[in-house]
Amino acid sequence: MDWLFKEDDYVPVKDNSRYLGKNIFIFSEIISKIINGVNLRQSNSILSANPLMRFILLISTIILLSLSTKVTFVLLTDVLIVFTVLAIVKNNHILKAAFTFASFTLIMLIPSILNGNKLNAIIIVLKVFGDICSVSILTSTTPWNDIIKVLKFFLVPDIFIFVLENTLRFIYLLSNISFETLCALKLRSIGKNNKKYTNMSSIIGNMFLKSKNMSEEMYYAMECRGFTGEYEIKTRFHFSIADLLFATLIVVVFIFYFTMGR
Amino acid sequence: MPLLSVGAAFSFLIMMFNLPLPGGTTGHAVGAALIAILLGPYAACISVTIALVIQAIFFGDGGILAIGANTFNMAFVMPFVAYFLFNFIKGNSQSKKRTYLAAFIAGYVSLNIAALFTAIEFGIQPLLFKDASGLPLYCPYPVSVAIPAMLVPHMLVAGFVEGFVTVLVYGYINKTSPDIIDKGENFKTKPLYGLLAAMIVLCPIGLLATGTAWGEWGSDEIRELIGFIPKAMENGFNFNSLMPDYTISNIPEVAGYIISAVSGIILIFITFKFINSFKRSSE
Amino acid sequence: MIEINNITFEYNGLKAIDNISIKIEKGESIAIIGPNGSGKSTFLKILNALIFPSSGDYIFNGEKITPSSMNNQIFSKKFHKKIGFVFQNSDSQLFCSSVYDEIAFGPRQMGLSEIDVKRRCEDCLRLLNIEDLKDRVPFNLSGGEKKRVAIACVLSSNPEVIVLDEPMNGLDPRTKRFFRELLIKLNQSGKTVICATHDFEYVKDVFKRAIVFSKNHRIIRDDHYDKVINDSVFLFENNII
Repeated sequence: MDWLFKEDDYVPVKDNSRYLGKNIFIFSEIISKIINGVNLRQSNSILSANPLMRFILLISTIILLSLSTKVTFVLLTDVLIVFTVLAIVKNNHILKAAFTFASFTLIMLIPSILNGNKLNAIIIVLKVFGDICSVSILTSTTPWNDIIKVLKFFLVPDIFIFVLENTLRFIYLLSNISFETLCALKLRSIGKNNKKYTNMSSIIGNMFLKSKNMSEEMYYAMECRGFTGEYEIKTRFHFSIADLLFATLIVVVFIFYFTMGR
Repeated sequence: MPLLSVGAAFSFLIMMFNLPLPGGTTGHAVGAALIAILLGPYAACISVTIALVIQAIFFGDGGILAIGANTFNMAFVMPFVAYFLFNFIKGNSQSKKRTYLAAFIAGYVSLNIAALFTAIEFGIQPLLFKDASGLPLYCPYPVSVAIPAMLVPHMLVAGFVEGFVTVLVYGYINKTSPDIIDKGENFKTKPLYGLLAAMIVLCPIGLLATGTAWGEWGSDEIRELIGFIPKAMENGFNFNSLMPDYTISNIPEVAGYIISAVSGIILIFITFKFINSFKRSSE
Repeated sequence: MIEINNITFEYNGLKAIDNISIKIEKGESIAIIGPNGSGKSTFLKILNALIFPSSGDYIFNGEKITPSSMNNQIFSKKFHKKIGFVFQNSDSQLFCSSVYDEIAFGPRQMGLSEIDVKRRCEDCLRLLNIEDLKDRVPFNLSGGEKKRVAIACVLSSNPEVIVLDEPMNGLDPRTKRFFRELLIKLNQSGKTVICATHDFEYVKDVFKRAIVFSKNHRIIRDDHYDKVINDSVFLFENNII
């Protein structure tokens, strides 16, 4: 017992444990993204309107963007999207992230560009940029549960929507647990760890065991509250002036595409 | 049914765990093989699908149109290959060694087969989608380039990560609570069979019909294609607040990115050259 | 040993800690008291360099703790070796597949020989009275057992400072009494003990000093523990009892 009552003269040896910092960052990011995404409330009346129209606009934009072969259409759509980000969403992170991914794509296309396929490469890069921006616009302006509920209009079964909603919740709960465990692992990593894979796998394994328990508990709790296997989602979406605006936008995008995009 | 939500959350999060690789970078596992072994292939199929949908929509780096193809590779091909391979190798044997070997091989091989499917899907794009002058519209690299570009990093690195994670996590759970591992009969979700069937039918159709733009593919594939096995860019980050608005500057990681980007490009170049010279000599 | 000068921590414009300064000497035993959400946990995280203050300095053993100094891995490991953290939720602290491995995790990393590791582990098991749990899986122990393992695995790397986040939460009275004795013993042997707690009954005579956080995230009192705890008017006014 004497060792506990005197100070160790200890100098750590070199051992790379940067991956822990990275993991801790990733999990803190997931947690904060979910908190922000679920708690979104818009003061801007245009953006607080019916998410269905926005969802359709997003999907049509993405499909038309990917179908189009004309650089003018793609470029124009991108300009409109950037304008939306700057004027309405006011979130520069979106542009930064999209720019990063577009650059990755560009790097990858270098061999093909050098082989002479220049214009198509530019179109692809512009498309990547537009896609990422437009998805981010939706997810950064619409509470995430509303986006999931939109699926009901596409005849996705309620039970599937229920599963999706709960998945988000469980991702949040489980990431909190993993986040703390990773912090603990970091604090306790005071020297050379030869079992990094074993430790990380145990954390994953623990997460699995915990999720198993959670699912059982949730099932019992549902039964106790009289759950019978039916789950109905009530949606209250009203059609407002803002929706008309989005409906118009959808039509405009399609007209654009058929006049200059094909 | 809560099991599905939890399974999906679990499979989403496995992909977030970054493991250290030699050379200071990190890589992550897909986890589909592990879930297939733990929960059975049907549950794995649905869990991974939901995980990929959530990944694409909410944590997305784009990739919504690619959900069909992605799920086909990672939520259908991978778990089924892994499950059958695992049971085939394990057989009726009670031997621990053989079971663990089976888990490793299931992880390693299933990931590589999924990567092979992805490469083929990339590779047939230039055949299917061309502009007026015959230049490829989407993915510009033919099968002969896409396959080595995808498979080399997977066979050398990512496959091992997948294999080790599969066997180690399986081993941990087998050791701590062996009774909860799927015995092959305890998964009943009749209402979901319809959904499952629809997905299995729709995935390949969706894949060919939408003419998925290359850039619409999940960022992961993009980076993997050029050798970007490391996932996020925040190595060595000391988490400072739970909220975003962070500013990080970390030079070693940027260097790592550039190195892997350069090596990816070199890989593609070499394949190009190799194929060209091969063609010429055969002509 | 620990010096905190004008630290503020904020995220999203919200202050979790508002301009606090503390000096802690070696061998002290300190209770951190305050209502929920007053910044106690944030403060403990800053002490362990899991997060860094938005402004102000944290000096440990004469060395500044900053994101860039912690980026030096040798320095950061040396720091973590000297300060041990017992998480509020012991589940998140345990990740090995047996109690023995859990406790051996720290000593093994320090490069001690297996004989020394074994000695340390056995001492810790005895100290926490969990010798018969040695080969169990930490995952399905009871709450009290998990807490004992969590404390043992922090002690095994022999930290100079032990930080505990509400260690008495959800434990039965017998375990609480056990931990009280243990904290007193550790402090008498020269360890610095810093502990966030709500459970005043069971920590009698453990602490000599109390630091009280208010709901607006400041330190409103830093005094002898007994004086603070007997000042019921003050405690009531500040939502502590």
